Amino acid sequence: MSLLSPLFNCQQATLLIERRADAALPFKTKVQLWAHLHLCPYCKRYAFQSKYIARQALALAAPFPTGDGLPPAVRARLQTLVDAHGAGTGVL
Amino acid sequence: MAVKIRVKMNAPAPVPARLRGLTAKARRPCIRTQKIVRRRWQAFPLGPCFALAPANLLPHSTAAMPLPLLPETPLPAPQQWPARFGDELYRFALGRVSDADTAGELVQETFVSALESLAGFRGQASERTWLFVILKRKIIDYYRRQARSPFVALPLAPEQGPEAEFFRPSDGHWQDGQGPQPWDVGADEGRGDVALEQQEFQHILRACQQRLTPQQQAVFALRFVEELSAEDICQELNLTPSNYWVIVHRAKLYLRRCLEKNWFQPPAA
Repeated sequence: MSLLSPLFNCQQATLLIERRADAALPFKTKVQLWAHLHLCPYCKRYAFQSKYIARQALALAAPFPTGDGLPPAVRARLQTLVDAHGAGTGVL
Repeated sequence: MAVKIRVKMNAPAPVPARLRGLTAKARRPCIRTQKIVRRRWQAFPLGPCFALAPANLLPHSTAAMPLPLLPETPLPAPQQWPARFGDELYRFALGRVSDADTAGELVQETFVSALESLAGFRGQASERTWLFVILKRKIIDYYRRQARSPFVALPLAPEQGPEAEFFRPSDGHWQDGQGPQPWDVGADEGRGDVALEQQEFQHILRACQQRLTPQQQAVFALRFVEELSAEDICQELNLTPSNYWVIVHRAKLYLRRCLEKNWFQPPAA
């Protein structure tokens, strides 16, 4: 415990791993985190897996190029909506 | 002479579309400020500047003069929106909210907003881009509503928060059995059913995401899918930065554990 006190504990380290993805950490923090990651296999795995999850989540949201389109009911509703607008204002 | 040399050295600037067909003299940018325009009018009452001056700046006598034809921007045609962009917008929304009804509603809200602000559409962007911008805004609003609907107090002290599930409150190290296990990522590259596995994995990822609290889901989606900056998310969801980071951290911890349990579980555990 006393050995690790200048470093972070795992809870702080994992939080900093999340922050690190957003903006660069201050130099001292960076060094401390680097040291922690070299000593702690769990947090090292966490850092990798955290990035992996972020990549996968982004890929998950990418729309399938071909897939099911608008359900017919929604399409009809939307068409009514735009037609009503066109008829109401006289704008094409 | 000096002028000629300068002209030769500079690459000819691309001519904007609205100026094509005018003489080189007429292309000179002469309406930087209204003041200059007025001076030029006085000097050349019928000079080429009229081609560029907006109609309301023209002196009365020339207001009826035919203006040179500018390339027409096609008017937006809302009647064709459902046919032209409906499917695309819907699929985009569906990837983000993963719920068919909500995706349909988002597309509808997009169209309603677009129709309302149709007059403000200047044709600077294509209709498609414009509709997507509106849809993205609607998706952010959707997450904002989601994050706000049930108000959850956020205990920040580590011994009260859900962090205690993962870390020992005494020293902040991983609890026994909570430490991340190695994941076998990409080891099955050569196999034939990679696509299928990927599909299953995404299915589980989605299920795990839905197990998060609404607030965590919203923060997670805004950060990792919409890729908003931390400041923007704090502003949209009315969070302080430290709360924001705690939420991101918790969302990742839960998601990581959920994926490990349901997907990366070592076979002979």
